[in-house]
Amino acid sequence: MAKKVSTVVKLNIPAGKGTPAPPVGPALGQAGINMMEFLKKFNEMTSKQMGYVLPVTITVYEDRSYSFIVKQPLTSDLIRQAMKIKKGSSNPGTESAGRLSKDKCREVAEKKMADLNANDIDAAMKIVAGTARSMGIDTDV
Amino acid sequence: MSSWIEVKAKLSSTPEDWAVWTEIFGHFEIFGTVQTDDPPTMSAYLAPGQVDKLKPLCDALLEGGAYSVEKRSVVEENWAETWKQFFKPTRIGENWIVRPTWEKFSPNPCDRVIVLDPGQAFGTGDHPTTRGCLEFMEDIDFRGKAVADIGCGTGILGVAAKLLGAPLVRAVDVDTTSVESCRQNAQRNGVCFEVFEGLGFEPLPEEETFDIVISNIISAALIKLAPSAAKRVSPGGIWLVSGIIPANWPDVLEAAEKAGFKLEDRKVEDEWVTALLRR
Repeated sequence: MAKKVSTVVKLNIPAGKGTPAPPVGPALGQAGINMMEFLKKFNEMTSKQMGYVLPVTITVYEDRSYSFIVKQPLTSDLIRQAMKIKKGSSNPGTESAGRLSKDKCREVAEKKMADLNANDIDAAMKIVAGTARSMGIDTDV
Repeated sequence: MSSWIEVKAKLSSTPEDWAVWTEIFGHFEIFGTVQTDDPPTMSAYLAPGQVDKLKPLCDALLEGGAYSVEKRSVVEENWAETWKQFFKPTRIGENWIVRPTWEKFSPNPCDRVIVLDPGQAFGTGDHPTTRGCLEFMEDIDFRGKAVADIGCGTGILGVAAKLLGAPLVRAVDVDTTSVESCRQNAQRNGVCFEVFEGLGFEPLPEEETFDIVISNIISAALIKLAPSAAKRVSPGGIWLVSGIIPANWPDVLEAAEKAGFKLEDRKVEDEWVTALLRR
């Protein structure tokens, strides 16, 4: 069935832990889609990725049916995982939370490539390095 | 009622990576965010009792490069139920009523009520193609007929066929979610038919033919389906097709005629064509 898109909602939600509380409730309630059904599916699909925050794009059609795509975890989560650290610097810019090697940066960029607005791996690595710097993490890129 | 505070960071351009912004919210233990691309914004909500985070969060967002930060109070409500306000019992054609499970409705004696919970699967009765099919179906005698619904979605048309007296209905969809949704909706309506997962007629028993085949899918799929529909629709039987935009209609008709169907009737509703073809 060719469906006309009525709205697209982009959320970042902790994997396996979606609830009707904000931000999901106000964002999807107004879009008029069956929220509990969405949450049940999202939580089921992502239960093995607990600990990550996952970007999800929900496309709502004119008959208020919907589809959704769960993307790779946020770059910041992938950087933390690659570096095996729990968080970035509390004072980015003044304190460093460590160094992201070029190899690790490439590893994150490869995972996240499809979601980033980058034409090639080098461009993706630059974006990942930029995110790392904003987290107070030095890079070799 | 307690209130949440929505904090929206307005950005001058779409960031290369939104994680830079989720990270700022994350510093304040806020992990759920909403983003919009046009205009570029990222919002999150402070729960009642988190008001002490408001100022430092706004400062951090401004420092991070947001050109402005908007705050507004959002009164807590039963968000899990909010979406339901959009679905009311709907009359389609002369006698069809599509009613969501949570709504009450007193039907007229001639009304046929289909109970449906909208979800991910397509076909809530809200779409012109579903409406078009239901309207045509009202005028077809389903009693004693074998029916196949190819591309069943929520199963609304299969349910309708059963309610109109079809003793045998087979429903097929390529999408697992639709297959599940169709089974649930059949049960909800107290009707019983088999639902198959697969493409076109493939999952159905070989050599099985039908008096009526319904396909509310897309033009390209209908064109592909035409030769097998000709094999599966009994001579003199009906192929009810929908999901076609007017620009694609000539191609669908050509494929159907080539396969041995004749156009009997056609209607266009909100730029969607529904047609009754006879073999």
